[in-house]
Amino acid sequence: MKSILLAPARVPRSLQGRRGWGSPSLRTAPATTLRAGPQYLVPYAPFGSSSPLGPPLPAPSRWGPRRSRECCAQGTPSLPPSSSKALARATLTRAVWVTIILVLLFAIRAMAAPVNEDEVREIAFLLRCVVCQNLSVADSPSETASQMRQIVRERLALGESREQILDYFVSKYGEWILLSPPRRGFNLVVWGLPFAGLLAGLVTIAVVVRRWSRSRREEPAEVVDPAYRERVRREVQELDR
Amino acid sequence: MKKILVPLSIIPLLALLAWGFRTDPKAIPSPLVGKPAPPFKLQLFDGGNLSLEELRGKVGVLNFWASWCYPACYEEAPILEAGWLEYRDRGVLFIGVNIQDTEPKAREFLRLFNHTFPNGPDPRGLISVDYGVYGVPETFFIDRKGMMRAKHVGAVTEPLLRQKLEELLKDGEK
Repeated sequence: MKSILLAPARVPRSLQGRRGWGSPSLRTAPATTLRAGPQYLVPYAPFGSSSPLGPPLPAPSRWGPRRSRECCAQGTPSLPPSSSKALARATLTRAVWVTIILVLLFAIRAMAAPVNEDEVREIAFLLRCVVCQNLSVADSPSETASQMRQIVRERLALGESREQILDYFVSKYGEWILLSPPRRGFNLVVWGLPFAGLLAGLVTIAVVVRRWSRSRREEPAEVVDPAYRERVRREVQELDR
Repeated sequence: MKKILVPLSIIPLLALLAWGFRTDPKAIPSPLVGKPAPPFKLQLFDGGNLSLEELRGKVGVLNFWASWCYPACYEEAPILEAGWLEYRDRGVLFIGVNIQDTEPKAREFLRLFNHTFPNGPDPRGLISVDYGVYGVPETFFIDRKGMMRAKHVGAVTEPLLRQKLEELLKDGEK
């Protein structure tokens, strides 16, 4: 916030001592803007606001017009009438300057645009952390993994596609670097075997269950010796009595 | 028949497991061997830069190390230095790449072993990933034409170093 507050206050003061302020102010204008410039190069500066000068984004866009307005409001009375042409020219030149700088800043911002972190994470999920056991680059807290995430991020920022980035890592580490092997060639065994196993298991269960139920059905009805049955009946009758 | 079949079916499974347990999950063949060595730019601890171009016409030994890599890096450090002193006049360049380390500790390591061959850090891991490094120490042997000829994982031993260097030196003479 400071920069916004400071800029208009400082500029008129510097101008008060000067009469024809076409060229001196021109000299100060790019200087001030340039000083604000490098902040844009810092990624995520608008969110972090860690810079002591506060969020840099709104500064120049507000600073441009407001500054000129305040300059004119304060500067006009002390201005000699002869320099009005110079003033117009200076204003125009400054407007051109501001436009150029704004365009440049936006270009820089666009270039340094933060990469989509979801994309970084999705790619990192596909990569095997080289110093871990069965852990993805996205999940690992190791330094190597974080360096690899940074490499993914930088390559995304350069406009590379997911396939290009994965191919890069494969070219360096081999297919080993991919957490899931590509579905071709011998790798298909890995992809197919679990399903084949599942199918075989289901078939086995079906066959076994069928055999069991059939054998129960085919079991001959209980054959009891009639004499034994007669005896049980007699004894139960005796008990009842 | 059934009595034989069940134990028999276990045999391929056991064989698979035996093979699986015998292979080292950490031993990954490098796809870079036999290909041109990836270019790199190393900022040396002693100041100055070193890039792959400086290896042109020389046999290169590129060693990735870290001061925390104990004991392997400490075992091979004197061997590397001795190898450098012996082979430097025969057109062999040793290069140390310090990875995932802090500068003071790395410098201490270099002082400890009196390393005289060029060493530099790889703070962003760019060289490590370009070379497919997954641990320390790892050593790459590059021939005079800039082709990656071999990768060695783990501490370098004197016989191995000698054998590889002689092989690559002889190769270039043909």
